[in-house]
Amino acid sequence: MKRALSMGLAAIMIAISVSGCGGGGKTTSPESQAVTENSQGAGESQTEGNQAEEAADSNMAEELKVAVIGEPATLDVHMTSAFITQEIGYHILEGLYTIDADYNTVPMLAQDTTVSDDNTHYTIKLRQGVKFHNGKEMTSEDVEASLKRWVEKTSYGAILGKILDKIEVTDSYTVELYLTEPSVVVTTLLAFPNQQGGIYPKESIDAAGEKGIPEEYIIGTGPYKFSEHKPDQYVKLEKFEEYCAREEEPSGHGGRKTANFQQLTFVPVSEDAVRKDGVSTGEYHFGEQISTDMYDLVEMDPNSEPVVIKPWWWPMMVLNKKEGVFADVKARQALLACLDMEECMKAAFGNELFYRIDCSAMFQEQPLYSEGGKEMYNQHDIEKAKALLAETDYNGEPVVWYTTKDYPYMYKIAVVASQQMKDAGFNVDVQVVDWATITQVRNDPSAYNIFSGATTFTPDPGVLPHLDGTWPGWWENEEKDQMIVELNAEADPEKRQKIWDEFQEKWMWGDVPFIKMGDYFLLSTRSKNLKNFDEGPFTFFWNCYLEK
Amino acid sequence: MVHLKKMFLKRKSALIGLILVTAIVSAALGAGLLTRFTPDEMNVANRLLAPSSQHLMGTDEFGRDLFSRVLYGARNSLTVAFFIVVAAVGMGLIFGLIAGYYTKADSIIMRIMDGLMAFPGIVLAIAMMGAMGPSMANVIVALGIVYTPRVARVVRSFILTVRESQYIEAARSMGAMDIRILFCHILPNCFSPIVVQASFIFSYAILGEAALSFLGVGVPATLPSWGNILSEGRVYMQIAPWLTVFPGLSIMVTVLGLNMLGDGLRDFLDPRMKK
Repeated sequence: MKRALSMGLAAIMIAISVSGCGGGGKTTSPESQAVTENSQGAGESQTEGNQAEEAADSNMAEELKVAVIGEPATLDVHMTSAFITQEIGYHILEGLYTIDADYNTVPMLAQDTTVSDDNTHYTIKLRQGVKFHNGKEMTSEDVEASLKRWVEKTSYGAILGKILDKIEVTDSYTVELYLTEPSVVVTTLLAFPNQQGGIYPKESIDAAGEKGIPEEYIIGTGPYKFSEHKPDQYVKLEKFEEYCAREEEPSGHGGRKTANFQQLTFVPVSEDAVRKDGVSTGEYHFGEQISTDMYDLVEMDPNSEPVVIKPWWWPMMVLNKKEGVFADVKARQALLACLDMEECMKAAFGNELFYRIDCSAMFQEQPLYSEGGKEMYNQHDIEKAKALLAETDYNGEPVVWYTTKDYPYMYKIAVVASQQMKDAGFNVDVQVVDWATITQVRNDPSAYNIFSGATTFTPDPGVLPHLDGTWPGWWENEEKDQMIVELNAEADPEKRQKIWDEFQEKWMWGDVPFIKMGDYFLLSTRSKNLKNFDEGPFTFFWNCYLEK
Repeated sequence: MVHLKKMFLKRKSALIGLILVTAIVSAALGAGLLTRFTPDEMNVANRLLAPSSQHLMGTDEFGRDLFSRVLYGARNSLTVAFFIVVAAVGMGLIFGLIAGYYTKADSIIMRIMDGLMAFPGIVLAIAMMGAMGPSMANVIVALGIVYTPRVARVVRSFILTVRESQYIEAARSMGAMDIRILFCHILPNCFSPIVVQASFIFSYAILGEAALSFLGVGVPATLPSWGNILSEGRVYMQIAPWLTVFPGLSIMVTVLGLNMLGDGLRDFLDPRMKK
């Protein structure tokens, strides 16, 4: 009798926890339908997914050590676009939406989304029963507080902020966004992993100071929770036992997330050779971003495997348009004219497997790929550069370029490009600092003329953060802003392509706010026994496991 | 001069040291004549080429000629080291003279020197460079301060032994001012230990500059120096070992030569060693 009673209680508890975690009811959003269709259509992949989970269960490891490229300046994902912060943040925080393996927007904390016919009113139903790491249930109050801060602090948020009329909370699980003008990229903005619209509990938002949210308040709903940060030594995350996973099959950042490690440790290792050797010797299980010159060595190594991600990012020079020599568009055009992209990219990436000379802001593999402004890219015309520079007020004052060896390609591009600039008459002063310093310095218009940067894989040109006038470099121009508004309001793919072609030619290459150097593909290295690892451009460590 | 010649003939290691140092300095000064390439001349198509008749030491990741970079790097490294010696000897001499001659100043100056020496030199230099930022002038200041106590201690201890000498007493009784006694009577007698110290500090300075540049806090990364070349080359140690071997050898040969020369000078200038 006792046994029957306890079994009954257990069954009731399981039922409660499942219904609470799942949010109850079927999702009706088109995005989640797409995911379901994808996963059902790929019956084999579902079987593979189940096999992977079974294998993971039998190979549960205590710790996964990841050698990252440097020290995160903060763990608050709203405060910086720095890749290291974002990557750690993927595991701690979740947004309302995210992207799947095919870069489609899919819901994460959102359950269902309704959009008005004129694309100005979004009603977002939240999943119910989702718990934060502090044990509190996520409600619309937390979402409202987080979104308001995200809009205020991040460049993706600022893009939404420009057209956001108000955020309203209808009930504990419903949030409504009212826009001042139509937009088709709202969920894309909220989904994109870089500068993610991560949802914190309201208490964390209230505790935020000038330097961001204190580390003890870095709380999210993700499969791992923040445990410990020893600067320059490690950031440790612990498995969140009460994590409420979605039910859909895993796909990219979307779907079901399973934490297969008790602990995730991110170790800052500034030297890529050390990251590579560390994986080879078993010190780390994953070494991110190593020199592409090491491809053959990794391939020959019996303990590690190369991880090639194509497409990945594109490196760029961001010009300070608020102060200094590059406030003058002629000087920016002079700089563009003198550059030999092939030389820069070859020096930076060596192996031709890892770079591509291409002027398009969107990769060839994406929609809205464009050749607009092709003739202005990769000119290497020193005489033209000299002539354009002569038309400016430039008198040989130092052109300060902040770059970093934390991302070796940025430094190498700076070395080669600065030589080409010198040939054209620029007096270049290359300052090599750590990445955290660049993320601070780039906000001070009096401190620099150029900083090295890179653009992550972006799902839509309408959400490219550096097109916004508030982003460092300060591209303030109402005409181009209007064109972006048009692009983001246009739902017809053909019309969008036309608008973007024109924008890329006239503004991206004509006004030269930043200079794309080319496409590049990433080489990382992983331990051979790290299985079910997703090689997408936003590295994460849920669902993967270590084979014993 | 004849004595010096005899010393070099008698002490073969000092002669080898002199030859090595002279060769390195000459190569640095004549870099423009010895190589066809400038140190910043890039040819990305020729990146990471192994040593050949075209590129004696191979090429780096930007296709720059490594032989040229090592020679021009020697200029920067030797120039920085030379001025570190000038700074350390200059400051050490002044502090040593004052501390050795004036008893009251001695306790204050030497406690400061002890304080500086309490830190490992390279750690202190890194801290200073972190605060001041990477530049050649800052390397000279930082390492100059780090090596000053070495000179000050040697000078002070020497002055302590000579300040009570009869010829100093005689000068004082004739009414000579302290400054005259210090610079005209005591300083010339300190020459030998200072020269010996300077030769050792030169070799320490080369190592110190290379270490700071290797760590990214020394000579700006865009200028060639042995430390910078080593730092950039270490990433390619497995696929292009020449990028680390040649600058490493240059540092080793120079420091070895300076130490051998310093040992010889010390033996030659120390009267006790002559016996």
